[in-house]
Amino acid sequence: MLIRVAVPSLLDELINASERTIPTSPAVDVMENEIESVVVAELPGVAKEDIAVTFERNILTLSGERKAAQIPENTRVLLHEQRPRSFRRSLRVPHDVERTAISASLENGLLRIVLPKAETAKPRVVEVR
Amino acid sequence: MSLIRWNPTRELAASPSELLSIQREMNRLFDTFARSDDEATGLSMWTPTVDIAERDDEYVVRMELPGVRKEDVRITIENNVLTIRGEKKQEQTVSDDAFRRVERSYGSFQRSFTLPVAVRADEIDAVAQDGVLTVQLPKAEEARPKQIEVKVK
Repeated sequence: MLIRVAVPSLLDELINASERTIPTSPAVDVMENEIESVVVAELPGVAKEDIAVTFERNILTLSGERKAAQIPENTRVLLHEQRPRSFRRSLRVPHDVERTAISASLENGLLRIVLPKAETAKPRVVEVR
Repeated sequence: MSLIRWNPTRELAASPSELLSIQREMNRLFDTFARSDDEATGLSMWTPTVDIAERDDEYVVRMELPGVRKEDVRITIENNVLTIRGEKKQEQTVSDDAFRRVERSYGSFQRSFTLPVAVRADEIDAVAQDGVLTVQLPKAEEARPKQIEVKVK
């Protein structure tokens, strides 16, 4: 009886420890057109202030933490699939970016990062004389 | 209580959608802007994750639905079975947009849960915020724990 109780809780502890230290990789969609690239990442339940977006040497990195929801007293958890854990994702952007014009917004659990192309990366029409 | 913790590995029974999700994970390992192939197959089943908590007077169900519009979600309760279903639609993009990468799952989803005790169906409340749907289901009066004082003579 004791073993049956102790082993699952030990396993739970190991799983929890690995979940705390290994960041998850949120799913992203990437779209590109002539003027910009747009990255959309799924971050449900993550607060704006818990997200960091950096851009360095054409690598876009989004990272942060999904904090645990407050559980009031006298609450029994029946099903627990949403683990609080950190996330991190890096993507190489295949074109030059107008760095000062990068923007990010969070709505309905979606982080949207717009990376405007630098002038040098935009397609150029050369007229034939 | 018939709630079973969702275990992704248990569902690895070689179904096409699971194979696709493995492929998706593999694609993620190679972090470039390379176009992923899973959009071409049209198979995009997904299962939103759920937390369920019980208090003395209510159940609280939280479901992660990033990018799902609230008008695309339907919540029903029948014979103490709560069903949340809906659809995650791919947003309209400009016609010259090229998709470099599609990892997010789109399409319809459905999950059902049998609640251990009766709830008041007409007082169920649902709020969508930050991509998380929270459904509060008050227990029926007769299902709440009661403290009865017994006087000792």
